[in-house]
Amino acid sequence: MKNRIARRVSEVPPSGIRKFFDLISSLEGGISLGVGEPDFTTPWHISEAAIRSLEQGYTMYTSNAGMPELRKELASYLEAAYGLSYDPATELLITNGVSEGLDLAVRAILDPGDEVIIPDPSFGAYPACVLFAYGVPVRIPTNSDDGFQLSAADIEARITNRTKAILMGYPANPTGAVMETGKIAEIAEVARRHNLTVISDEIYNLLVYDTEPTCFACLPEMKGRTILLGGFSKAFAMTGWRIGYAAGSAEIIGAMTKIHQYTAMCASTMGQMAAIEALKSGLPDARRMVEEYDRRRRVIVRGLNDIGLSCFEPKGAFYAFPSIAVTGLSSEGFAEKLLVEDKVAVVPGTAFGPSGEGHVRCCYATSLQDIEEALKRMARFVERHRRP
Amino acid sequence: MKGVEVHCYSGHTYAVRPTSFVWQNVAYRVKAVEKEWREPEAKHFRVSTEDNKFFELCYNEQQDEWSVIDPGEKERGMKKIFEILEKDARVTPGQIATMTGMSQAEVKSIIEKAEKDRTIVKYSTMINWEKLGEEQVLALIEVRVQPQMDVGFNAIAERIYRFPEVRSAYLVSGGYDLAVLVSGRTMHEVAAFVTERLATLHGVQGTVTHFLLRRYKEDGEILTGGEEHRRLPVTM
Repeated sequence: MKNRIARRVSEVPPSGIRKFFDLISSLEGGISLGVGEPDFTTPWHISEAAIRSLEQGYTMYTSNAGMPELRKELASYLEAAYGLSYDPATELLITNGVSEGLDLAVRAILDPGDEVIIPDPSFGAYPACVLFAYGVPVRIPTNSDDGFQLSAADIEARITNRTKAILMGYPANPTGAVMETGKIAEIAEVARRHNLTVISDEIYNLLVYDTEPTCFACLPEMKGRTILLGGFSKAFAMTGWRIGYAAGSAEIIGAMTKIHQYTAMCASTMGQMAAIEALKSGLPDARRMVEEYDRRRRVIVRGLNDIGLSCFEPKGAFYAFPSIAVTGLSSEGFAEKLLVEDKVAVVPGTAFGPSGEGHVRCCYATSLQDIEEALKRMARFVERHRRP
Repeated sequence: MKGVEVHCYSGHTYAVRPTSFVWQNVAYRVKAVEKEWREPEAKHFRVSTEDNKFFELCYNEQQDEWSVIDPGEKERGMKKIFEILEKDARVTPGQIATMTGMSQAEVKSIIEKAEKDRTIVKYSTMINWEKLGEEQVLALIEVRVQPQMDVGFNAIAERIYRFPEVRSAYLVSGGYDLAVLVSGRTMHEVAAFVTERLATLHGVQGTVTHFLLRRYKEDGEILTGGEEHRRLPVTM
């Protein structure tokens, strides 16, 4: 009998977080450190701009690549923030979040069997999107000793004549790692030497603490071969609006826009209206939220280390990724028992790839009270499950 | 901020008085020690230099280390502390130290100083009495007054704000002079206060009373309903 579902789709395992989702939904008094989005609501002036646009009747399609005004604002923002100059007419595309941008990028560049290098652990959509696009994800293990940074030597060792691209996201989900400048320069050098495209997911770029964010396209000769993916979800607390963008060469953005026009038509109009307002006057809000995350980050990192879950200092995003070695439990066992016994939800590191084993992801985009209470519960849990 | 090289006069102990120092590649000669004091971890000197600049030098005896307290950095540190306390007064100095990366002793000393000079005015709790079914009547009173020679509006304002019934009092621009928020247990009590005590004060020319019907937002907090939790509990 023929398979009803395409093999490449049925072979992708379901997301590793589903069962935690069902479990915590049924628990009273649970605290979740398992979320992947801000706890702030969208700054009101941004929501207000979208409401006003609805009142004015902006309810139709926009141009496929996104509203010209938004692309213009975005070009100015990228110029001001990174000194990168993109032509708003041909080199920018507004997408339905980075998720769509990611899908478009791999579909635009991969032929069946092409290989894409991906750090492990990393955001679960990276390998899935590559598989859906008939590509082959090649996972490169990273670990806490290297601060979960991808190394140029490891990439080079995995390059074959089918390698087409490097797909990475720093500041990283789930580790909170940020690439050091020297290390991204080395990766850029490998990409140049082997003529690879770099898909750089920089959705967390505004969320960095005491450091500079990764900017791949800023490196010499990299702008033309980098697909820069970014968006509004994390920094402006706009996850539900689904607005992201892709910046790159006219050739690649043109190809991505072709797919986008047939599969999505355009990003939502009210979302684009909100994004214009976010770029025009939302940066102070983003900075205020980053300051708040930074306070919580210091509390959770210190707290985790104090209870024996050793945690390297995350310099970006809003995740801590402690080691659970002190318990001897697997990361899935740890997450499941912690949820059932002490009602704290964390995400097992293995949900982000095999190299996530031995770690769990704790999101600190939640109130300080909840973080403190979760730390207390986790301390009790670790005491009970300490490896003899 | 470390990386300062200090020369000092030492008598029977080290570091009796700094005489010159080099900071950020600039050499300064100390003209005078304006003030010196001791904090738990270190000796502090506020000094003026011969080119009329002021610095705070600090000598940590245990680590045998000099540092310069950059006034800008100190101010930023203070602001960080107050921003945290303004949101939640219960956060302890230890927690603030963790959140800001400052030392606990430093946080404590800044808070104590701010309490003394009333930068921190008071710590209070915001209660929604309506939840307990307690009736509380609030009224915003527009007050027109006759300003007085030499003291302007201040004297009459003081006579008004001294009443404990007055929760807040502001001098405002526009059609009237003072905006006064008055509280009482009943409408009758508030009305009696306005007509018998406030309106009769010498210098008060007229009042308009607006009873508050519903509190939507106070001191930045939304009181109606309360934010529902709409986030999915676990996401990638």
